[in-house]
Amino acid sequence: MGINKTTLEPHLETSFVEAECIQQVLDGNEDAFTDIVEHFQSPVYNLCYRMLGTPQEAEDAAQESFIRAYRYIHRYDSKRPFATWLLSIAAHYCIDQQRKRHLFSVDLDEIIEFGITDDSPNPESAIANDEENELIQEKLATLPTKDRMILILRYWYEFSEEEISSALDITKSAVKSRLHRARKHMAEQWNSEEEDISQKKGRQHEPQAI
Amino acid sequence: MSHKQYEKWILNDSPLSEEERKLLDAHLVVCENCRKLKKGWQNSLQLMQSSEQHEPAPGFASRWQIKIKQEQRRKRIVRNRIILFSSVLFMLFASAAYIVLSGSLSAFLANLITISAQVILFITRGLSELSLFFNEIPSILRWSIGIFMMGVANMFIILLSYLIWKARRNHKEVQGAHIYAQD
Repeated sequence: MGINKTTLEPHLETSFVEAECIQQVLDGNEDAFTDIVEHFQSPVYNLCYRMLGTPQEAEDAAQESFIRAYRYIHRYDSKRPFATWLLSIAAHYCIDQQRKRHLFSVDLDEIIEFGITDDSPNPESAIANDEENELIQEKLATLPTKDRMILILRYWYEFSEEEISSALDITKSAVKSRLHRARKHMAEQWNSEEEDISQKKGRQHEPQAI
Repeated sequence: MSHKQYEKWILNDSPLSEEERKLLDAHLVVCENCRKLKKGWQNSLQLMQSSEQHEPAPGFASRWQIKIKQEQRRKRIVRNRIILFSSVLFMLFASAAYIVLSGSLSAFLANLITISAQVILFITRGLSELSLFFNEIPSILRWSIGIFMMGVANMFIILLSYLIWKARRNHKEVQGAHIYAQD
């Protein structure tokens, strides 16, 4: 069910080395947190990218998530997996950013262009140009903020309903209903796009009046 | 059975029982909407499963280190400003409390004016004595001291220019790192 299990899963488990790093940070060794950043940068960045849709916003959000994690590391409960705690910080930050975007910006172009990356050359362009990635970003963009986050945590990070509920501070029943709504929305999006394509094809095959 | 139940089975992650599977299959034969929903969801899921993970630009951890240092410096500046502001406020309120408690605002003002006058008098006397001293010493010594003082003043100007240049260069480096982060 999960996506790219081989690339994501090794990052999401709290290994002995990470536990050691966290303990070192708690003991006052600030540099130890850089190892944590290096280890978790990909899953955190990917989550931010899926939520916000552009490399620049994803970079800023991922950086800010690590700063918050560093600031509040003393609140981390070692009984929980570190990745779950870290990703919940990133998730909350991305949801806040999305809310701010809706509150302070009514730029329709920005909403329409969500998920379409700029043409400037950067390491992201190779991936962003991929049609499948663009298509999934466009579909995710049509979901409400929280539903999008729940879907991302469920299908990219294999979070259980309980884990999503605890990460986003919402009830398990709310997670279930939002997940159901998000899946239905994604299915309908797919179908409506297919209908549009078939209608366009139909028009192309119609004899043109001269 | 309600239509919603079939939707739930189509969109649910957990596997269906044998009986549920048979009921759903029978329903899918007659309901076009549910067939479309199932196809749409399966295709969406496949698309999500095949999508690649996005990676940050190289040097993410280094950029984080720069950012956390900036954050710590900003916090330190804010903390110092709070301490300074609180100290000034404390001094003001302590002075006000002294004036009120001593019960004599006029005595306080008189003391303040006397001390100020004494300080001004001291400075004026010192300056006049200094000018008398310089008038008495030979002109060659006077010129030597003057040139030496000019040299010291120039040294301070050079030091100040160097500090401003260094601060500007650091600022540009930080900006450069930020632009790289945006790439």
